[in-house]
Amino acid sequence: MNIKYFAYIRDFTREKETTWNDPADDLQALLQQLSQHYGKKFREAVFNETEDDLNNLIIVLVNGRHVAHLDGIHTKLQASDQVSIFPVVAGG
Amino acid sequence: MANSFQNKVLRINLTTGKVSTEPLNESYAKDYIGGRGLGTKMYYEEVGTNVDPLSPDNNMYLVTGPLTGTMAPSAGRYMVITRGPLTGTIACSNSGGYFGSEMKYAGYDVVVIEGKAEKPVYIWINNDKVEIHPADHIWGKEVPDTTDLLKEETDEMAKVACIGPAGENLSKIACIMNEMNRAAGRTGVGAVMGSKNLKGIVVRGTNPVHVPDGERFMAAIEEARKVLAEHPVTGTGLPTYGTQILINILNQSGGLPVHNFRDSGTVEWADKTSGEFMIEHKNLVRNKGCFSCVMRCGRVTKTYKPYAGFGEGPEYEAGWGFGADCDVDDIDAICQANFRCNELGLDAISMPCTIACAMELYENGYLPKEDAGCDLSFGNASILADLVTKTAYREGIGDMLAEGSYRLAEKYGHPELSMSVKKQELPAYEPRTLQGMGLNYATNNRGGCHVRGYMTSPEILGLPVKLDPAVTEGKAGVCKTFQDLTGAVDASGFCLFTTFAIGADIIANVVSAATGIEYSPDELLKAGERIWNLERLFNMACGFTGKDDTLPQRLLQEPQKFGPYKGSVNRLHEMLPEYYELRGWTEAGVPTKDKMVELGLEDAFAQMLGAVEAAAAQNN
Repeated sequence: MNIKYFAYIRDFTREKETTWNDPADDLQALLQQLSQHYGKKFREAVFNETEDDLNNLIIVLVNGRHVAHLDGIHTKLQASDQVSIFPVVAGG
Repeated sequence: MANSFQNKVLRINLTTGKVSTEPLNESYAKDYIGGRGLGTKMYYEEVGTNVDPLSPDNNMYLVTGPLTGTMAPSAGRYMVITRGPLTGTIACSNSGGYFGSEMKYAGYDVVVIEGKAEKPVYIWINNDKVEIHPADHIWGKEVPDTTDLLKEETDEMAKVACIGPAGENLSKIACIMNEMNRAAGRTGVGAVMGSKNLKGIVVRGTNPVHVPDGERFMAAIEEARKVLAEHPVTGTGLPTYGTQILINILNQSGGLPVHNFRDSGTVEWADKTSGEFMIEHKNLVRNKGCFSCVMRCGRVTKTYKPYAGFGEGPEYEAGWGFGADCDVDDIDAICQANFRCNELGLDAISMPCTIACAMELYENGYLPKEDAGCDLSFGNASILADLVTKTAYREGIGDMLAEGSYRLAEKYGHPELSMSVKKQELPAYEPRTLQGMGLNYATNNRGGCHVRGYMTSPEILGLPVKLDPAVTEGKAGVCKTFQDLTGAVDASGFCLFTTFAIGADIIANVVSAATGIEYSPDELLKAGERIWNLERLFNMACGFTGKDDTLPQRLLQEPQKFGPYKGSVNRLHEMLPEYYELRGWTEAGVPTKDKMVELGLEDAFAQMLGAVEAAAAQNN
């Protein structure tokens, strides 16, 4: 699975993207896998305190679609999916 | 009672040389707040709806908001209101920097420019001393030299708003630049200034701005400041990355227009033109803020060979325009072209979009090589800066680029290739992905514009609510609310970016504390709705109808080629009827008498009907 990171999420991952072998089959489990790998700051950035939902300040896209319009943290994943992780950003 | 208005209008007639002042109309200030609303009301009452935008009869209003120049955070804006030569609609163009606050300190809420000088001039406003000076020796100079020379001749502490060669040469995409790099950028207001032979306005002010209750005001602005400073967007994202932070998320979301919107969706190389990359590539020298701003999203940037230079920007729109829209992945070339826009006084959205249109006309064989004078193929980074220069000086193909994309595409027989609404170029959000942004573009009172109803915020960024960009249901109501709120924000003097963090409640509280006029959040929105409808009435009196509330056919009919929304078109027809209904307009998009009475616009409504009837009688 290809996973891309943007803005200051890259400060926590120290890489712009990764090819993740043997990914979990839903977003929550994938983010737990990634948190194991990248550590506490990444975990705090993507999860709420109880880790049962996404942090309000994170945007996760699966194949370009905001997971809020899919199944949120329970969005099902396949190995061929593209996952993109952003902090909340804005401009114009 | 003291309030944050200076309660004074400065009026300068360039034909007669007469300078006068008058009190601010208090009822206008109450109903229209200030800025965009006040300027539109004054324009409507004083000028009417049938002047040629480039004639001496077309007044220009520089208007601050009640918060401009106060200690309110991120509230240094001023607006330029006139009739726009690019669109023929009401034109209001908004700028930050320090010019607006200095105007307020000089003692004026509004500066009205009337008539036309016989020869090039500049205006020197030094508190209550106002002079008109010859500017023959400055005419022809670019914005940085003009700014430096005008300050040398007046006061080094003064602030300068001026035009570059583009405005002098009446380019319909020319802007007014202040402090060299801040732009009242859209709708061609620079050409209106040029048509008056007015090279610049220099202002220096040392008067205080008062508020009715200092304690209440300080509490109100502290609440706003705290929210702005602590919000991840306004407190961290914008200061760190600037607006170019948007490149990657729009690209990953399939919302990045590519190749003049022909091949929109997602491109592999977008990260090379992003805000993140500008830091990595060491383009970013430092960030920079406007008056009283806590966000400081401005970028001071440098570039490297073969596009070496130094300047400010680009903002996201220009970065996308010279980048993905022209298929250029070289951030140095993009920055350099943006620098030239600032130096020459050209709108850094309409300029690259017009070039992208020219590139498609060229690749399709409609724009011949002998007219192009260069290889206008998509992706040719080496021609960008030169095309900007040619546009400002109207040299070669630049003479047609200076007219904007619609007139360019029309000349070559394919107006459908202009990605514009009401002849103004669309910004950097693909309406086949962002359905609601398509509705905002189509209905916008100044043509293709994103900052009068920023639907990207809910549709992509999830602020303040998360709306599925692909869905049309419910978009009309949100779009209307955003448009009305923006009307009020633009009237207040606040920067629109504050609304990423603060809502109508905080804004209403700050405006009330500054003016002593109590606005509830609903009343604030109602003032915004009044402003929106007055603009609409103006446009309809000028001959615009509901048929102009549309998008380029490409976006309505050609399925998007790439990205997660591949195959989609914009479904404007699913949103527009509900939008009209929510606005209280007829099915044809005409404001109704009942709604206009509710908003206190019955006189303007009657004028609009009179103008429409007169035009119909003339046509018969």
